[in-house]
Amino acid sequence: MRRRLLLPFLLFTLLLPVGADSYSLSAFISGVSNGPDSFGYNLFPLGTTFGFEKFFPIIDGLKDAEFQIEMNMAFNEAVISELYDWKTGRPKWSMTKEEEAEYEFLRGTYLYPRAYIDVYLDQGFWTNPLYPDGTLFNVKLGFNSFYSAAVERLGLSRPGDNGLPVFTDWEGNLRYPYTETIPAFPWLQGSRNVLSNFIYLDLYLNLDRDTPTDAEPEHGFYMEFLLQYGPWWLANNLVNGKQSDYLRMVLYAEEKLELFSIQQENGWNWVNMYFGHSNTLQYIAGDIVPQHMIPEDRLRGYISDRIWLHFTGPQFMAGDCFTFIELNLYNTIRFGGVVNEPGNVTHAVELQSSFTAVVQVRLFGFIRLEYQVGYDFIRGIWAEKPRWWQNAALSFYVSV
Amino acid sequence: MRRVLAVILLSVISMLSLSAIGFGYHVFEIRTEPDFAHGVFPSSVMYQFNFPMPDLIPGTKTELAFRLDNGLVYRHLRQNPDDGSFLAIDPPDYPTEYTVLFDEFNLFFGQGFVDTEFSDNDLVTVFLSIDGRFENAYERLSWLSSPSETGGVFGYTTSSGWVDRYPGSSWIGAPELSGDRMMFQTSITAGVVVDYMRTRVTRRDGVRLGSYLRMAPDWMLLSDKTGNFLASWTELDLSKTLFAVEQTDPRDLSWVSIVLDNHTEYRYLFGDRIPQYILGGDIWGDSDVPAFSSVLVNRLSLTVYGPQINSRDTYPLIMVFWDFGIGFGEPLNSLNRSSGVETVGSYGFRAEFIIFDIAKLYYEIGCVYDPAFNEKVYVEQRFGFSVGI
Repeated sequence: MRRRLLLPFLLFTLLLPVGADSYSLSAFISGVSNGPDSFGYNLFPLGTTFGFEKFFPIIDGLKDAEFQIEMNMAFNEAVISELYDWKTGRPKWSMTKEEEAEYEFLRGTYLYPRAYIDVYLDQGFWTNPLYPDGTLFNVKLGFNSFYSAAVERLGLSRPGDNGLPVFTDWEGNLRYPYTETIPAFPWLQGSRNVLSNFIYLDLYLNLDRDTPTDAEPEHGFYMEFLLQYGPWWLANNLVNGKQSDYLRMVLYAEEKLELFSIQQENGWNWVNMYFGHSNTLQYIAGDIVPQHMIPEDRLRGYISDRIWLHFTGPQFMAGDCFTFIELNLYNTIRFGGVVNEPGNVTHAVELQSSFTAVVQVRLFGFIRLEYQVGYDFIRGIWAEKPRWWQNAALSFYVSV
Repeated sequence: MRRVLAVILLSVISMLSLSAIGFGYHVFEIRTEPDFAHGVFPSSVMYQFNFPMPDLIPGTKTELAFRLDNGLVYRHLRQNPDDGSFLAIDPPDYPTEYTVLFDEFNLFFGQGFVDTEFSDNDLVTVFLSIDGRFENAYERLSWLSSPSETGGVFGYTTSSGWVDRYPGSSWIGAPELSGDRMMFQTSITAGVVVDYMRTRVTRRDGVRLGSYLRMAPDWMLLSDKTGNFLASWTELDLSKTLFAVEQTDPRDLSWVSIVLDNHTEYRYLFGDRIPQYILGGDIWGDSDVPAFSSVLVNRLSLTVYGPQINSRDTYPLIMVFWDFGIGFGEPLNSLNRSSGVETVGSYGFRAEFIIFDIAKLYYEIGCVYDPAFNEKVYVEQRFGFSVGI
């Protein structure tokens, strides 16, 4: 009950400023096809993000603040990683041969229905010199409530499936170790219904141009500092024991330089090119990191450097119909302890370097045809031989 | 090949709607299910993208839109899959509730006639849509979560595994659940709406009448032949503000108001394979009108609205309602073709506090005093918080 009351209270608190004037919000919607069992031929969405935003004045002399509420739901499947000992949280790659003999991993695919509600208030200060309608510096304060469940794969009850339940036997009794506390996968213990809340502070500096569609050349400097705090006392420990207790910090900076841009008579793009460079630093501290915040390879730290060259071809038929080619060079170092490992025994460093070339055709902001080719160089916990790879994809987006 | 064709056609239909993006869109409805996230978080949402369309008749509204509805809903198996007999006559001792993941799209054209000025809608609107609907049905989300949750509607478990409850059934009573329990049906829908309703959130006066016809024969392009039906339904809304005290400000808010509403829906269904989603007959509570060829439901409600607090979309309300339904004619999806009649009814009370039309805190209690056939009379209460619009 306390959990149920906390969400209305926090929402109500954040909603209060919205009532300052008569009420109207603009909406945005984004849906991506991702249902289980090839739902809707993988073409139509089963899962949607939608939201409402409103601009209104809070402080005299400043531009309007933005209030936004965003909601999301999705119903696809998840796979339990076999790479972590469920009891100690130790990754398999850190073990000796002798230790591997004692290693106990979990296995299975399950349905992962989930939803979130995110509300924030964003106040901008001063004027962005490269975009006079925008602000130079913004402070965003928000609250995010995430619900998820881990339930048996729905297809299990379908004719001819012949699968086995993951969490229980056929009589509904929990299998070992789901009867226990599972430090490596806290979202799979107890009722497997998880509510995970965090509050966040996002500070960002805008010294870049506005680009209404992705077809315009980008130019300028952008910097962001994000702090997400999901402590146990934020209703994160009431049902299944602690479901999250962490602090995530992200520092991001990017610089872009327009090389050339030629426009059509109607203002659309013929061709343009820009050069970009960015750095990201991320660190997650805390004892329990929830499922939707688990970093890649579970390493707490992340430093990334990206250099890219972006070429955009002509816009045709509509503003969001265009082609682009992008060359990227990524260098990423993952480092530090392993999340959800009690005692923080394991530490590691990993280097991932990759070069990618991407060709993308975008049609009406709705369909993306992509071909990608790349070369990976990985050293560290998953050392692999350098290799070339390629893939092609047709993605369906509803995004406005 | 069939799937390839479906993908191509659906892509074309999708492409047709593309120029809608950036030109207008809105969310119609957000729904919750008590078993998903305690009913707080959304479980399905219906939204629409609008094409940029000039108004064909000056002063009235022309609409060309692509509408999408997707998510998860719960549903009850109401008829025996083998012969279509009503399960409510001899209520089974196993759960009848199941999960449906669904996606419905409509390519929609509407033309209004006669501007009413006081409403966004024209006095008369006619429309035509091409529709498609995917559904996948599974056991409920809580299935197998504990020893008391092993019974399912489609089967049951033993120590050694899963046993189909209806092996070899022809699924006469629920045609869309046959085979792999997936369906894809296409249809054409036409309708006319007469709207003379003056709505100001906490005050309503007027009448709205809508009449609709959906044709889904099994020879429709891409249909997987799990459906073969024709459905027509007519909805009549009557509202009268009995009492209102206005606030003295320019925003047209009220201190208190009392509104009497009546909603009537009559549905006629014809065909040999009629999917659950089109049956209608919903009343408050779990006991809905059995699937006869004619279904009529009515809700009479009296709503007392409290003050609109500094915003037209923030206010408390208390509602009393009485739901009544009757089904008559031939049973649908059934081997029994002899006519029958059955009534259902419920009444209740709902208190709600709406915050900016985004968040709702509510309590409701009701009694299903006339459930279908031999189901038991019951009282149910719900308390909750939901977020949506």
